[in-house]
Amino acid sequence: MSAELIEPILWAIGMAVLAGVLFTGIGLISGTDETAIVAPLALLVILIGVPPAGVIAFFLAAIIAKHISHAVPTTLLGIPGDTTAVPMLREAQLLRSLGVPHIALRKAISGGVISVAIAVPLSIVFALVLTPFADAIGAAAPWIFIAAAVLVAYTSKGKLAAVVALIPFVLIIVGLQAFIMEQKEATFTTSFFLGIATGPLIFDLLSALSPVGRRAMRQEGKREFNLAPDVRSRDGKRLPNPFKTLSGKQLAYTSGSAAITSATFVFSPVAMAVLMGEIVGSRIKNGYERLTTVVTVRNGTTESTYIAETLIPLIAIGLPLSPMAAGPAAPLFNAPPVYTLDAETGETNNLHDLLTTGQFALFAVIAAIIAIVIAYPFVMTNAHRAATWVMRSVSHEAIIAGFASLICVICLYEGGLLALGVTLTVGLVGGLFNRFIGMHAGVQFMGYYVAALTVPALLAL
Amino acid sequence: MMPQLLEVWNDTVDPKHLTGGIAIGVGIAVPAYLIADQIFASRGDGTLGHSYALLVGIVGCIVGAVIAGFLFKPKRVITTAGADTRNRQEIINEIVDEYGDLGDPRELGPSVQEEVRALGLFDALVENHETRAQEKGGHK
Repeated sequence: MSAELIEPILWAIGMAVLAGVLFTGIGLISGTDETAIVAPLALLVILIGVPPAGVIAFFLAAIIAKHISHAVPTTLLGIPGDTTAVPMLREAQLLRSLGVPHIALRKAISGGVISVAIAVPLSIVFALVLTPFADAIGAAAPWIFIAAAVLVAYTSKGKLAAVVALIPFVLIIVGLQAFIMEQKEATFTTSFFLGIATGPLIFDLLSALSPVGRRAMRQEGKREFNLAPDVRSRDGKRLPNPFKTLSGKQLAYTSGSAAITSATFVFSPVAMAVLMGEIVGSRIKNGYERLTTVVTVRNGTTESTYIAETLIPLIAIGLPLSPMAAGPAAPLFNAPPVYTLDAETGETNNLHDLLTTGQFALFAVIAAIIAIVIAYPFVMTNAHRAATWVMRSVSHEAIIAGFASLICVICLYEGGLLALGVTLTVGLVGGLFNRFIGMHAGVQFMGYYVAALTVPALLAL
Repeated sequence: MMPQLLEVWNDTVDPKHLTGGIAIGVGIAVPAYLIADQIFASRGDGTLGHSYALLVGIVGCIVGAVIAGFLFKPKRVITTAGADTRNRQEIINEIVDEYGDLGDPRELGPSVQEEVRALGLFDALVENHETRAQEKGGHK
């Protein structure tokens, strides 16, 4: 090993450990949406100057660890840990009523581990296959983005309404950027991303401030959560092993769907998790086996889609051309002044240019191993205790306080009070579109790129 | 009087505590960032100083959130359900009504059969399956 690789490897190890611990914890908190949580924290890591090796390892370890521990609230409390946990909720709840929530949990996280092991190498292979076409894809990027935006909008909950809402949303961004250009002779990126990612939070906070909005948000008394009883089998002391937790059939189905979903990197992770679960479920006759296998496959898919949708566009193209890359992974492509993506020329200076494919592979493997070593045994053995502690001690007020202050600090850092105003504007409009039209953050990120890439190309016609 | 509770960002909060929490968080993090930025700028550290100031601001966010966490406790009621006291067959019937027959565990592979036995579900599932098979036969 060459000497100049030692420092990046140390960065990768250190950042992966940090992300593994942090996101194993965050995953335990229900409702911590990936885009709202992972994107701002990844951005932060980039802005404070962590080198590329540390950034990619941090990001991958974060999503891998989170998609292991997000199974804890999903299976033990019956509330989805985050957006991608929603597809496995039904099977998890049925197994919970059957009195075996721990089986749902163990199957789900073991499926995740197997899926990571398959998705990391396959994503790199698929990226290499795609690399020769990168220039052609880059040249067509403005048109690809608008097509992707319309497609992602149409497949969101808002359907046609989300497609139409793209027009005002894109115009708002274009207008704001023009005003910012006039004032500061620069464009903002971070404050737009933050506004989109935390839109529902900003919208809720303003709504809570308004007497009209407050009426709709009232809650009768505290919310009740029913924690499944702590059922632990006798083999609790043994070192956890996914090959023993899963049956041969489950291993095969999880591996198969991980391989397929590593290639389908342009589709939404939630949609793929639902689809893979349906396909596998329809092939299993026995009801008990079907329940446990579907939970396994669906959680596996949340890992493989996230890894592939990050690594393939990063390695092959350098443009955020996947729902994931336009969402939680957005800062890896564009986080000025550190990583840039020139809207007019389509030139990039981001992880795509800063790391070789070999380095991507190396740091991805480091991140995957560390995240699994931290999250998997911890969740296997401490799930019940950890879930109880989070529910009893971590107040939602504290989480919101942390995020609200984080938004303020990052905005002030990017562009003072004007940036704060941009985040507030984009967040309020985006949150409103999200809540009432069903246009989720992924659609809005695509909208941002339509404003940055497609609109100038349209005007140049 | 019970404080008025609101649902904000998918969980329950007390609006007074929420305002307090945000005031603490922003009140610590923003001044921390601004002061640090001033100090680094006056020392002529340029871009790097700007990033260090961000780091100071983030530490401020974490400190604020931790203080808010100590001051304001969660508004959740946690009930740990004891094992369901109802008859096992009733529970399984409910699941079958929603999901369809859970099937005969005897048709499963040996390792899965062992898993079902270890969970103590084997006999219950066999019984449920047989009762259903008989009912079906009866209806014919």
